[in-house]
Amino acid sequence: MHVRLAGFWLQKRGNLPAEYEDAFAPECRVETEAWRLRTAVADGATETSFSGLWARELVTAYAKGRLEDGRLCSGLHAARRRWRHAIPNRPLPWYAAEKLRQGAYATVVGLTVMHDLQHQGGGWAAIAAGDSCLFHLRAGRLVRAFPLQNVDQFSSRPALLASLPGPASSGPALAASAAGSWRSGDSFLLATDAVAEWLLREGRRAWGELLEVLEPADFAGLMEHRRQAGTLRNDDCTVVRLDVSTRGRPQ
Amino acid sequence: MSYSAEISRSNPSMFLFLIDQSGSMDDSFGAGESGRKKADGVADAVNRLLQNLVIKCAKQEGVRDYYDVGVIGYGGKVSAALSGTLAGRDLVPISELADAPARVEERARKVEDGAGGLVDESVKFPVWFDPVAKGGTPMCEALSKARDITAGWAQTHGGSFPPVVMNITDGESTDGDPSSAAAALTEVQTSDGNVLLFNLHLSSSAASPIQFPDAETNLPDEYAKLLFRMSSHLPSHMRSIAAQEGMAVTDGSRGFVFNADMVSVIRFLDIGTRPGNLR
Repeated sequence: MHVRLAGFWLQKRGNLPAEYEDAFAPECRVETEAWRLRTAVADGATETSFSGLWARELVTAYAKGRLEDGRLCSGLHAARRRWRHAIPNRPLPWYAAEKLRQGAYATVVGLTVMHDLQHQGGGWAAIAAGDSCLFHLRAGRLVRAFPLQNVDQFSSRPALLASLPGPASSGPALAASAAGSWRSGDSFLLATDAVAEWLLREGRRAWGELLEVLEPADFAGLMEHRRQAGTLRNDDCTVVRLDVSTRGRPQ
Repeated sequence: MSYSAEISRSNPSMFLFLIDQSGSMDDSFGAGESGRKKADGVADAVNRLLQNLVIKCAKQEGVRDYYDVGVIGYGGKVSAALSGTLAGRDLVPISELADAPARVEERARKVEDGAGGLVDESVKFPVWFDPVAKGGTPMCEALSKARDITAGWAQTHGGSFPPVVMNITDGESTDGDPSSAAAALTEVQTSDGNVLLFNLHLSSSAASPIQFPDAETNLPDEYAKLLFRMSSHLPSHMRSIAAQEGMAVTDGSRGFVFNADMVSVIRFLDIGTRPGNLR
């Protein structure tokens, strides 16, 4: 199959780029022939510390095949260990120590697309925890939204994956999984919550606007425009677009 | 008037504590904590509220100034009650508050060990001030000072989420009926809404704790009923978070608690995604 992947991001208005706490993988553009490709986006929770770092560990783990359905427990354990080791080892003020004790939290959605020689397409599998979402599009229409299907399901208090071991409610039990098939010419969008909520509320017009985005500047312009119009919540924004085809370069 | 303004460093909100430091705070609690003085309970409550507010705004690089914070004590006098290098200041950015507690104590607490058990853990407990119990309860004067402070702040923060004023008291005002002073305080507004006045009533009465009631009928005494009537209704987003946390709230619920924990109000403040499963 031929795959074309590009990720776009923009930090919350009023924040510095260094304060962006979403993550996506792979970070570089990809255009290649492949039998299988994995991609993920994650959203570190504002109210927790080192959450951007935790989001990056999660997407990296997924993209490397360590967080797939069936391997979640061991994959999450390893990602937690890497997160802990990545935190600078220096004395912290009382509030930073307490915040670190609470751990970091993040949502994640990961997608694996696979080529199937028998068909004009292939299969896909996904996992998700929280409100980062996957959208499967065909000819500009929504085929499937996962794990959320409508705007009423978003809240400012989603259940998220924790960077420290704790109750089951913050671990692998949180993750939902889904699978399906794709046809040549289909597109997938992975989005963190602000963009996902906008896409579900606005529907086809929003898909259209997002699918016209080719460059980072286009994405930043679209997000700012929608924020100013009041239709997009001011938050970190991240989208990974993946186009799949069995006939050479996707159109 | 929607209480929906984004709370950010460029558009901060404000939290003002009014603390009853009157001689009657030397009395003991009635419910479940026999022998413990109300003044000790107040000091712990305020230090925990300030601690939670700071932690809410803390990130790995430091504390983000989402709030200006003030602490006014009322007892022998009505004055700014922060100690140490912050003494005498009515309002300070929360990052300054975070870096200047009077001292940081080590305390023990029980935490889950991840395997179904509990273990002791040593935690740092910052203290910004100590118990005081002296003089009368000039609540009217304290509410008037709060009106002056919030009105001055609102003039320069016209688009911000309005100030939240939390009055912590045993309820027995000695300078008159505080109702009109409370009404004047809650008339202060930004374009996003009126000042929110919440009351935490610590009583010598042995009545059961009550959180965010919607009627005064079950409140144990006249002081509680008066404080309930003075308290603002919880804005809708706070009610929905309270409901998500399993609290029984209705459209009529007010920011009033009786002999109970007010820390939940800190969780009601929305500065971004807070994990629903972070306890």
